[in-house]
Amino acid sequence: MIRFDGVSKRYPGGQQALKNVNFELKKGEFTFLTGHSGAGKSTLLKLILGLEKPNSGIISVAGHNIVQLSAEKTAIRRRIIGAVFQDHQLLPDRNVFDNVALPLEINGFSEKELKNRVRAALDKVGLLRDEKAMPSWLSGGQQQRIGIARAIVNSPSIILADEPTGNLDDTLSNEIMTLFTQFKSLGVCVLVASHSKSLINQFSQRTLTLKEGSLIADVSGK
Amino acid sequence: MQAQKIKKGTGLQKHLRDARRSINQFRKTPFFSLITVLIVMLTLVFPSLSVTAVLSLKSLVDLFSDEIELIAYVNTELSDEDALGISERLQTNKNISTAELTTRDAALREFSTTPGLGEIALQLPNNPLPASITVTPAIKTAEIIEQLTIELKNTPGIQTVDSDLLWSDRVKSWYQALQIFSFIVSVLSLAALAAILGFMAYTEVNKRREELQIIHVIGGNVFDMMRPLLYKGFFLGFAAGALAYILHIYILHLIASQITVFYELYELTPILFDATALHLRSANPAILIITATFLSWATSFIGAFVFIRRVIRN
Repeated sequence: MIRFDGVSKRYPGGQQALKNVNFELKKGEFTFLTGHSGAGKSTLLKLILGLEKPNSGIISVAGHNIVQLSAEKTAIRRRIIGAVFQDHQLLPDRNVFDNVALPLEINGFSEKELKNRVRAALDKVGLLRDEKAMPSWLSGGQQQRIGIARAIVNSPSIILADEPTGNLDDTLSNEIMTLFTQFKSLGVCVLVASHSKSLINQFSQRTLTLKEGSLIADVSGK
Repeated sequence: MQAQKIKKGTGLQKHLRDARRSINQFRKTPFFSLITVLIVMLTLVFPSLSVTAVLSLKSLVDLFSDEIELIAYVNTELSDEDALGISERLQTNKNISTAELTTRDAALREFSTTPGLGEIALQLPNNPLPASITVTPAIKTAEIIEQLTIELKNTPGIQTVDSDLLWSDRVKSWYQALQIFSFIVSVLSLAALAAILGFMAYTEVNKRREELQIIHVIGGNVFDMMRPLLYKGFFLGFAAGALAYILHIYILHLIASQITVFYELYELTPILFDATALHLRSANPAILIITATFLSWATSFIGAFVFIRRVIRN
């Protein structure tokens, strides 16, 4: 589903973010991406999303080399990816329903299908009752679950999560990680960037470790 | 949840949703929206009124041109029969509509009614006045009149030609000055309008920066981000154009009686006012509204395209 072949990325300022990274993630595989701050985790996720272009190497997402795609085609390819961010990235002036509906609006779903899908996604993350609430009325954990609902509402083939439990307590973190592991059984390829060793050990899944831009370990889960 | 293939979706749903959202945005910020519409409306009214003034003055210029006559004075040594012969020959000229002879005696009778000088003229032993031929040009363009004046001057038996073009020239000068003024006002107003709408697009993009970045990350392209702005520009232009038309009519209604009095001085009232009213009824509303809508939409398009690309690059 995702394949990196000799991918390197250097930012215009001269900082080497990734060095000759190679790995492959299969359909229905759950993988942790770990490493210290500045190791290159966020850059790797941005490259998969097509928000950054590598200086060298091939990035294949769902069978397409996204390095060679135009900005327009990259945006369309991005629609098969559900992205979850540490800071949630919710729109403060739209309620929970409208935030979750955003990817479906971009895809041009009909009102009826949009409502069904949004409610199904909210139900999955346990927020159906709060669909009319504004994000600021909800707790950090609930806001993160809105972000997850938005990521899964479009039935993505890939879910990318950048430190999704960064601001949450242990109980909420476990809840959210459990939710992610459920998608694995649905054939979704899930890549979660996290620096929490305890969380990674607890869920014992395949783990890619980055250090100063290099992939130094690729450990299979139990 | 079942992983799905990419669905591009129907464009119509996106358009309907964004159009509705744009209208809702106007409702959410009624004061700001109203001020913006009023500013755009006022910017449109100046060129629209100046164009109407030019059109109205053109009908006045045309009417003055209709009054143009050339007076050819016949050599005093020629008889009335000779003068009539010249007049009849002139009548055959394709550039001449009518050629009317005033004999020397008729001229003296007319002149004798002039207080003071008329009585003196009657006491002279010989009639000092020449016969004259009043020539109405068939085509009243400056070139034809000039050409006709030269032709008349070169006609045997014609001593001199008098063309009373002073009033016509004055009105034409005013008309040309107003035309230039109208053009400058229109260009400046439209430039100001483009600047206002461009700045609005910039402000709107900055206000929606966070939203645009999120849309970008979840697969929206530039046009998905631009669409709400384009609808906003479209509705704003349409509303401003419609209001500008109403204000335009109202201002003309306020000054209509003064215009009528002015044109009555030249016995031109019905033609001019009808012509003005005709412009108002037919061309202006469509032109104003279409211009305003297109300009607002186009400026929003350019502004949104430039500023959104900057936002997503960062």
